[in-house]
Amino acid sequence: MSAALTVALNALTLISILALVAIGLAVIFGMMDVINLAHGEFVTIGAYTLAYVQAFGGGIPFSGAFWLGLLLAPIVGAAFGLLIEGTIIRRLYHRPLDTILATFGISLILQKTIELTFGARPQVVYAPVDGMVSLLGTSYPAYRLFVIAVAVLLIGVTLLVFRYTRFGVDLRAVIQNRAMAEALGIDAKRLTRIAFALGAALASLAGVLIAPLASVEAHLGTFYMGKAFFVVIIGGIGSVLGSVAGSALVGGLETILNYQIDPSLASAFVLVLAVVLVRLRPQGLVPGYSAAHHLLGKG
Amino acid sequence: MGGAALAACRLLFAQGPLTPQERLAVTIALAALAVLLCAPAVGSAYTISQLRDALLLALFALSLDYLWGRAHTLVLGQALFFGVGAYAMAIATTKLGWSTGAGIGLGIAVAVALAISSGYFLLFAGVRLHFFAILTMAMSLIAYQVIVSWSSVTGGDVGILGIPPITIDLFGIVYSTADETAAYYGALAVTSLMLLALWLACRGPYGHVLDAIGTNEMRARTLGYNTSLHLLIAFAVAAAIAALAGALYAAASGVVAPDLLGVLPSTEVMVWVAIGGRGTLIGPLLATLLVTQFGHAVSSYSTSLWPLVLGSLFVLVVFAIPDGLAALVRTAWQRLRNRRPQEAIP
Repeated sequence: MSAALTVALNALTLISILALVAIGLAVIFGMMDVINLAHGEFVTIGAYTLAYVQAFGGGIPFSGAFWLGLLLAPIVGAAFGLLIEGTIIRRLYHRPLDTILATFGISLILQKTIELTFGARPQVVYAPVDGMVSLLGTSYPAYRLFVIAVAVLLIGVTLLVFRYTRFGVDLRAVIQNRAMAEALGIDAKRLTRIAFALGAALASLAGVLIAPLASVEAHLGTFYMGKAFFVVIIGGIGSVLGSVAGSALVGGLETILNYQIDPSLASAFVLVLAVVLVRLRPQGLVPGYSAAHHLLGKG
Repeated sequence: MGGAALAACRLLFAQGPLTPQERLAVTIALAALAVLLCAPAVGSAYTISQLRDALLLALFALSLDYLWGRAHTLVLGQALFFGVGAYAMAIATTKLGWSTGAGIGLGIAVAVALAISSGYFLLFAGVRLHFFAILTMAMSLIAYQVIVSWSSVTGGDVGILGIPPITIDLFGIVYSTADETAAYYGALAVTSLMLLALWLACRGPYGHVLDAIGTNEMRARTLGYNTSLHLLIAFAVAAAIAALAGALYAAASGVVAPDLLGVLPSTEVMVWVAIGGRGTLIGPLLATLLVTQFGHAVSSYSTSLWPLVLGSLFVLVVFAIPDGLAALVRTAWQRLRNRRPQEAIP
C-alpha cells in the first residue's frame, strides 16, 4: 500500500510539471497553428533564474531566496516570451514550417548562450523545505508534496480562467475560429501575445519547481519539451483539459514503467503508444476545436 | 504486372528537354564535379578526408531534400536514419562479423522498416506538416537515449571503434576505402549517382505528382493519387538514402558515436538544405560542402561556438533567404540574361 502511494505521488509530480509545460504549448498551437520549439527553453530559463537568485542571495539553503526566485522566474520567462513572439513568431505568421525552423534556431541560440554564460557544469539550487512528511503510513519528501500542491493550484486556476472568465472565452473563440473571433471584435493579436507570455510564465514556473529535483543544465528544457509534445498530441491541441489528460497518461505511464524497465525503453514505449494513439484518435483525448485539426484531417 | 512496371518506369523516367533553369543547374553541377574530380591532385590528405566526409554528409542532405523539398514533408529527426545506418554498419562488422556489404544492407533494412512502421501509423492517420516533423524529432531523441543506455550492444557514450573499410574484390580488381584517394572517389561517385537518380526521377512525372501532393493534397487525392502511400514511399526511400550515407560514413571514419543521431546533426542537415535551396538537390549538395568547411573553421576557433553560429544561421536563412542560395543564383542569372540583349543594342 505504502509503495503504491509513493509511486502514485512520484507520478503526480511528473504529471503536474508536464501539464504546466504543456498548457502553454497547447494553447499557442491551438491559437496560431504555430509550434514553438523554443518552449522548453522557458523551463531552463526558470530554473536558471532560481539558481541565479539563490547564488546572489549568498547560496544559503532554506533562505527566502527560493520564494523570490519563484516570483521572479515567471516574470523573466514572460519577458523572454514577449521578446520571441514580437521578434520572430509574429513575423512568420502564415508560415508555420518556417516558424518551426526559426524557433529551432532560437532554441539552439538560447541553450548555447546559457551554457556560455553560466558554464557547462550543473547549477546549484536549494529546495525551500527539507525532510520527509509521513503520510498514510509512508514517508514522502516534503518538497515534492509542495511541488504537487503548487502545480495543482496553478493548473486549477488556469482551468477556471479558461472556462469561466471573459479572457478565457475570448481565447477559446480564437482557437475555435480566428477569423470569426476577429470579426466579433476580439483583438486576436493582442490575445495571442498575452497567451504566449502566460504560457512562457507557466513553463518558467515549472522550471523553478523542478530545479531542486533535477540537474540544472542548459539542456534541462529539451527533456520536458520532448515529453510535452507527446502530451499535446495525445491530449488535444488548444485544450487545457486535454493537456492535463495527456500529462496524466504520459507521466503516469512513464513513472510506472520506470519501475519495471529501463527508463529509455520506457520513453520508447510511451512514444509508440503516442504514435498508435494518433492513428486511433487524431483529434486528441479532449479536442480543443482548433484550426490546426484540419491539418490532421487532410490524409 | 508488366503493365504496372511499365507505368512505374514512365512515371519515374519519362524525360523532357532541359528547361533554361535546369540547364543552369546542370552547368553548375558539372562545374562542381570537375572541381571535385581534380581536388585530390591539389588538396592535402587532410583536406581530402574532410571533403570525403562532406560528400557523404551531402548524400545525407540529398535524402532530406528529396523528402522536404520535393515531397514537402519536413522531418526534424532525419539524423535518426543516418545514425541507424551507421550503427547497423558498426554492429554488423565488429560484433556480428558480417561483411561491410551486409552491414550496409542491414542499415538500409532497419531504417526502411522503422520508416514504414512509424510512417504507416502517422501518414495514414493524416499526420502532416509540423505534427509529422515533431514526432520524427521525438523519435530521434528517444533513439538517442536508447543508443546511449543500451551500452552492451552500442557501446554507450563511447560508441564503437574499429569499423573496417569497405573492400570490393571484383574479378581480381580490388577496391578498398582504406586508401584515402579511393575512398574519396568512392564517396564522390555514390553521391553524384544518387544526385543523378533523384534528379531524373523528380524532373519527370513522378516529381509532378509529388509537387501536386505538396501544394494541395486534397486535390491530388481527388485526382486519384494515393497520397498517403506516395508520402510513405518517399519517407522510406529518404530513410534508405540516409542510412546508406550513415553506413558509408561509419566505414569511412571507422568510428560511430551517439552524436551521429543527436539533435545537432538533424539540425545541421536542415540548415544545409535550407541554405542550398529546398527541392533543387544540387543546391543542398553544394551547401553541405560549403557549410561543413565553414563549420570546421569555426570549430577550430571554438567548439562551443559552432552550435551558436548554427542557430543564428537558421534564423538568418528563414528571414533573409527563405528559398536558399539557389533562388539568389537563379535571379542573378536571369537578370544577367535579360540584360545581355539590351547591351547588344548600341
